Amino acid sequence: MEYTFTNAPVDLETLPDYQQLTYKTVSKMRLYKVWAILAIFFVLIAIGLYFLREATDVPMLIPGLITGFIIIFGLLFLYQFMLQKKLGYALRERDIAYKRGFLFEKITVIPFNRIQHISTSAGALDKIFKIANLNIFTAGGAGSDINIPGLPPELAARLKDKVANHLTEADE
Amino acid sequence: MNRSFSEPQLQSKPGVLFIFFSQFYKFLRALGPVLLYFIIKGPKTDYTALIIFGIAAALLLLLGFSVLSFYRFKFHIDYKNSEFVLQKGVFSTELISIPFSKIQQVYFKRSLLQRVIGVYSVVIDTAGSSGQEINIKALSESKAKDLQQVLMNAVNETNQETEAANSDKPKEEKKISSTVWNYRLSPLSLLKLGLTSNYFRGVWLILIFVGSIYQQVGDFDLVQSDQYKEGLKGYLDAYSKPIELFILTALVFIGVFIIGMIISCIEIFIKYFDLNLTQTKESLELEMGLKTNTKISLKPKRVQLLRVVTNPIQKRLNLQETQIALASSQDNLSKTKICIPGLERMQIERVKRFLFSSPMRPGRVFKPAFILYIRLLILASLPLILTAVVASFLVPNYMVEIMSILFIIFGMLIIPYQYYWYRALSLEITPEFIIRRKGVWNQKTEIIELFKLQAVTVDQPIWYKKRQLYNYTFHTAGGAISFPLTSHKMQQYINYALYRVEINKQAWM
Repeated sequence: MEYTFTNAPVDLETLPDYQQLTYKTVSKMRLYKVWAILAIFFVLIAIGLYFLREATDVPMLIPGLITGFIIIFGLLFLYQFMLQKKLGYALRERDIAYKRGFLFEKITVIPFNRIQHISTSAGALDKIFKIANLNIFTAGGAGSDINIPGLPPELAARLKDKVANHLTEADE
Repeated sequence: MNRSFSEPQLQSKPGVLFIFFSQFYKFLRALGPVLLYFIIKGPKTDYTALIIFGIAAALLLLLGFSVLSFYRFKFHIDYKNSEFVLQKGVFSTELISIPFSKIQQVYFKRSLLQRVIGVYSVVIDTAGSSGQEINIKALSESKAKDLQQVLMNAVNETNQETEAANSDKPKEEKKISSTVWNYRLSPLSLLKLGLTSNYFRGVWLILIFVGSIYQQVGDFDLVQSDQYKEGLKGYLDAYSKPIELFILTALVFIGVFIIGMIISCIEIFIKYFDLNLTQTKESLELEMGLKTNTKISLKPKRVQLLRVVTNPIQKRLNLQETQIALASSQDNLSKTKICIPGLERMQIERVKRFLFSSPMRPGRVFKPAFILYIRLLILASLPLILTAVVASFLVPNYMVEIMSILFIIFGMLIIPYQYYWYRALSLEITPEFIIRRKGVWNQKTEIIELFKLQAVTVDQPIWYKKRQLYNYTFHTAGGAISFPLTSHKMQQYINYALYRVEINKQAWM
């Protein structure tokens, strides 16, 4: 397997390396939002268990379920905590990279001149926690679209404008 | 000058009604079963007032929601940035902007409800999956037509600018009028193709056919089928000597095989009869089919992915199938795939030369790490392990026989097959292309032009971090190519691919 890029006009070594990017992390508020959702579910399940306790007489069922749920939710909380550090985006002159995944680290790079359109969105909970999502769509289908969560709304809007400006620039 | 639609606009007033009714419909669909239950059961007198009050409250809330969502749905055209901007959402908000240059088409749609209320949907379509298109659901006729007009004009203006810029480049196309070359598939080649194609499909078709007939017969007379079973048992008993039974089974297999072959042949004749491939100056014209004549005109610009499929026998006969994935602005980039079977090597070279803007040059070839083979083996052995576990419960007395059969399957089939599969898998990155090769019997070669990439994804499970192995996925508008567990050395080439896309100004579709 030797180097056979005989006619390439560029030196691979000197190309900007996407692995060397420094990724900006997303707002801590995202983590709090997800935790809040998890907490709500946890409370709902706890209430459910409370009523189940009155209705059932299977021995050790309730303690078993409680330990089970505590372990599951503990893992989910921990997972989100670890995930938070792994979420990040990096903007370059001509493309945007988005990194996510704790067990499966995944980086998607989209060149600006391949972006179809771009939008910001914020759900009801996002608004409470004052964050927004930046969605970038390409023609490559769902696999290559990215959705960056947990951005401060004004930053999301600014990013959107910045990328959108690049879009029109890239076309000219 | 205040150009039309430059201020944020609401939809037409009847739109409130439309939103309300469509929400109401959704509401009914969600709660339908519950409501039906109450209606059938008949209202209990004590609760009637409460239920009516509840329904009224729900309707009021729905109305409030509809009004809010009507007032929150705003769109305008930003002439400065040449894009279409849409804002929507009551509890959640969404801000979407689409640059003119990305708009594929603007068209009207009308459902029954929209007809009754007298509004139009204006759909703004971009390349990409169906969920991404923008639908402005309630515009009056005049406003809808205005919007379409204005948008299309704006789009055409920007596109003309870019096209004018593009047309400065000299076209290297030869100035030969109409046909450059032409290829016809003779009935003989069709027959060869049918005989050498994958029979599994044919066999599968028979199985479905027989299965459905059997089911129908079975539905008719249950009693007779018992007798039939008895008859079959007697028949089998009569042949119960092992050799005769073996011959019988072999005959059945051969019969199914031959029928599968015949069906494959017939299918190929119907689909590809009189295949005629013509290259003209600017497109590739394809015509084929016995019953429904397919006519396709291929423009190089639209081609996203080219795949050449062959098997060892067809290779020897010099018959290869070419599959072409196009970018489609319609639904979920439906992977509009075109199959051209039975091409000779020379024809494929011609097709490639025409569809691709640059010639093929050798590049760097990557192989997946050896651990992939081991992973494949483990994955393939899972069903066997499952069989062994199930068997140990069902027929514990025959475990030795079953285990030896499973081991033979594993050793004789899975180990070599997976090895050759692993061996065949490779990815080549040349200065202009990405080429993935794979397949043991059905050998596939997939080619993407680098500049037609939409995005690149690199992922790594945490447990491959130490080995520095990554999975790579190359996305195009006609499907993605992924390549597993490959060394970090490919990353330089990812940089190169991104570089090629980013410096590129060619239209990719």
